[in-house]
Amino acid sequence: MKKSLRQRPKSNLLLYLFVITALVLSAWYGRTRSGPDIWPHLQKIFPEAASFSVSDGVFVVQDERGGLLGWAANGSANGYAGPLQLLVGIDSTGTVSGTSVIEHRETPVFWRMVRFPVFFSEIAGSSFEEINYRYEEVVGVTGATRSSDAIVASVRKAVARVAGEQFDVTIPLPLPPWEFGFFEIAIMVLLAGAVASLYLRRPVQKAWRWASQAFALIVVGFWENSPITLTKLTGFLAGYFPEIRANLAIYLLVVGFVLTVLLFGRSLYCSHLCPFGAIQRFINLIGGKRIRLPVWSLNLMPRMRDLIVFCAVVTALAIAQPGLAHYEPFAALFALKGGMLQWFLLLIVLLLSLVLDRPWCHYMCPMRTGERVLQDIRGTITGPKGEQHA
Amino acid sequence: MSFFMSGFFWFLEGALFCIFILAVRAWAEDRSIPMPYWKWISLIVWVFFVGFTLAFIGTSFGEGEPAAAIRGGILFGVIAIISGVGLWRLLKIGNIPGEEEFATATEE
Amino acid sequence: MSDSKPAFNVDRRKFLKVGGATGAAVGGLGMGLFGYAAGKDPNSYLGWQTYEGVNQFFNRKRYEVDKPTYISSGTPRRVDPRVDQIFERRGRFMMQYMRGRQQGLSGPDMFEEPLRSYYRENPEVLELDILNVEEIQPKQRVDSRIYGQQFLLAEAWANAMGAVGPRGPQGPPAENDFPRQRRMMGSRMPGGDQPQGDMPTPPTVRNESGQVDLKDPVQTARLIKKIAHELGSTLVGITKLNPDWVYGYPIRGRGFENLDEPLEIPEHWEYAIVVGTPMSWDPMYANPTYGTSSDAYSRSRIVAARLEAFIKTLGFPARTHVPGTSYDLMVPPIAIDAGLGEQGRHSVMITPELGSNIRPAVITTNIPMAVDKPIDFGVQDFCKHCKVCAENCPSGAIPMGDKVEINGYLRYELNQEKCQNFWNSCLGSMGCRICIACCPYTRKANWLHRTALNVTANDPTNISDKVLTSLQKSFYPGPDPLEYFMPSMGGSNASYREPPWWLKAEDFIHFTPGTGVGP
Repeated sequence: MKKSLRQRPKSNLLLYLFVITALVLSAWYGRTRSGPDIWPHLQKIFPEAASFSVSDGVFVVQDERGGLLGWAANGSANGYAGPLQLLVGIDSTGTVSGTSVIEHRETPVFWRMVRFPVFFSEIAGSSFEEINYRYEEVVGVTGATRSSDAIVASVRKAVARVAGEQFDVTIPLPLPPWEFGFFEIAIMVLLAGAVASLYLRRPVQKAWRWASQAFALIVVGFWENSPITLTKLTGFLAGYFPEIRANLAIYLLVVGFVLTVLLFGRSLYCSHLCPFGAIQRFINLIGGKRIRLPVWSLNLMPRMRDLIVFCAVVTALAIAQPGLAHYEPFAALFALKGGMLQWFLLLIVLLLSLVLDRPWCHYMCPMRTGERVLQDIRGTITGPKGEQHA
Repeated sequence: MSFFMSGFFWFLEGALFCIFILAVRAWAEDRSIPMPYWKWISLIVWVFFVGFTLAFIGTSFGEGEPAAAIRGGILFGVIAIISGVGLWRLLKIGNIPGEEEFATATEE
Repeated sequence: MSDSKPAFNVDRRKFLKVGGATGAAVGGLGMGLFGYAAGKDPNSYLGWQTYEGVNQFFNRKRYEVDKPTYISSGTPRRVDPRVDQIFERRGRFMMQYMRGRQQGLSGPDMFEEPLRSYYRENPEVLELDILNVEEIQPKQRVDSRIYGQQFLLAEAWANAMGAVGPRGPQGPPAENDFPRQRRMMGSRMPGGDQPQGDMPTPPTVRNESGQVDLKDPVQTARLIKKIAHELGSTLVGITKLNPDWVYGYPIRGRGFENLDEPLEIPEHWEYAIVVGTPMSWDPMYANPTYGTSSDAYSRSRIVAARLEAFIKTLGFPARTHVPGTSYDLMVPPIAIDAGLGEQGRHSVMITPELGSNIRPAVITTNIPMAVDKPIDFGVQDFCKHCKVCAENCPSGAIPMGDKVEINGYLRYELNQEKCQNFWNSCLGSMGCRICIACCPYTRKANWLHRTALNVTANDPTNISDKVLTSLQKSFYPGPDPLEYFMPSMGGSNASYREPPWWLKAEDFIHFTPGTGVGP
């Protein structure tokens, strides 16, 4: 067998230890750093409050003599201008005693214009059963803007938590319906097809890959614009799991990506489902050339990429904003959205694709870093045999 | 009224376009590249698209919309370049390398 | 090929090929320069360059429909301006609120009918009306003192434009609308000079009531439109007046004595002539702070007043309904009936030529004219998924959702209280107009935007709507809506686009330091 001059960067345990420590530390920092002081808000809801303790994420509030005043819980959601966090207090009889907004980035007048104060004053004194009714009512009145959705959702989350913990009452949170349609079926078919094609003859395999990518380019790319992004992966890492019912597609894609690397040693998502990989291959087909890059650059560029991905993820985790890790130009191509960085990356990548084989996938894509990590995990499980595919 | 908005400007543009088409014909003849009608059509469509892209960039800058000029320039420019490369390869379809020499040889 | 001059032949071919390549390069450069010239072209400032009527360039014939594109869905109800028209209501609100506060009252009880029952039914409106006077206006006055200098030239320009403009009618229709001039050509006007002595009575062109004998309604319509253009109107259309659009009650400043007495629609309000002019383009794009409505208001008022005089001279009654608040009727639906445009998501009429950038006025008359048909150039489909205005609206007044039934018609429900509260918070020349500035139809007239307009208007599949909307959102981004707010409300007085050079006060005026102006 001819030995390739191109080296696969060696992974060593020490490096991994460093990376994992850095990730854990930054995630921990991001989660704890901006934790606002809860005490003033508890006092606002329960003026007689003297002390509180935390049990299972619910604040138990006591008066001076240690008597139980009530409970309070956090609810959070994404508002118009950023995260929105509020505290809902429930007294010992199970009535909402008040709410306090811990953190929001809505401007004061905007805040008042959409009538949240009215909602807050109305909600005080409601029992658990009434919350559901008011939810509908308020959403109807305010016209279901992003902020009012967020605030109502966070109130209900908080109330449901106290009700479940302390009163054993289950408040039905209005779960979104399962998103299961053409797109989800298409992803499953494409994934299954990709796996099945591995066991077919080589020409069929090749033809299937072209077909699969053409389909993915249209459906996953231009139609739904939902390739896996570093933002989504970092969100998962930081523990912000999106609601599965409304985001089944992204779970399917991520699980498909992870499982195929672990089972087959390479990502079938990348080769068969990623619309950005697809368009690079199609452009390369038009260009008709594959320039061989000098070996030193082939060895250098993946390491640079890994470093960039590492820095992006650590920063995003540390400041608890997964959106900051985003540098891929996917949205610029599929939805025409993006900053100047994304637009210029798009320009460079698409033009390079004319003469190179999938430059983004090989040298820039964070998914490749993820694939490598997963390959190493697979390697440790199956032994050196697992490295064959790489 | 600016010269570039005048009828005379479009007359000159048309003249340049004609020269370009004649040059392409000469170039194709010299290389014995057959030029059926579909090649001409795609070539002309492509030239118009490139013209549109350049005019779009200019207009956006002129209107004071640099973001539109840059993003539009990148989007339409990438499409123009990639389709241009594709067209370049398509144009050569039917070309028999060495046919030129062969033709001259028989004539002599 | 001839053997005699091979060298010349080869050279000529080479010359041709080199020339072709050069020509391609020069031609490409020329296209870019043409584009730049087209972007800068003064003729693209539609409605501000000529009074010849050529601005109404859109061929409406192709898009004419029998029924307007708004949908009647129930029993129509005439608007009660005392509560439904925000300026009228807030005028009443201010007086009664101040008095009620002195008396120590609160809630809907502070108000007289019809405000009291209206506020009982719509407590959220009362809350927003109070927010306006108690919080927004005081804050605006403070911020205006600190940061207002930056918009001094914009204010001066707005005041200059607003300095000229007829007031509109000062009497009820029976007094105001009928021609009163005593001396007229081809006389025998009612109450006019009687022939004196034995002077022979000339043959008259007027009938008993003083109206001239018109040959043909089609010709009259043609004449009226030409005159309207000559008087300075950019667009003009004619329709039969639909009584649904007339206010149920008269409003202040129109010469009516009792404002709580329902408004009878006079018989001579048979036709409505709609004229309209655009706001100056560059300040309009620099809304909310640098723009003004005064310029177009003033021009439309002048056109309407002159057209009224023209029609009255022909002996027919005429009454103007002019911006900002001098109306007995709702103007946009009448303009839609007259085929000037369609209603958009932001509740503003969208015209093919000027987009949303139009300030219309109406002249009601009974001079017999051929009427125009409404048009359908695809706005309803476009607005359904574009939502650029709703996303850019800082006040959240424009809905993201579907149309709802209001007074018997399906339309997008604009929250006019949120809308006006926001424009009361803006510094500069007052008002907001961001939805007009960011509307994809509001474009200067050049090849690029006219092409886009024709594509959407003619595309039955609506694919182009989606493509053009995403191009719009990507290519023409505006500031974050929250940045439009004044500093005390968390914003930075942003404007949708940079102001034109002639409105940048800091380039002309010395400011005292520490006034929040400049870097």
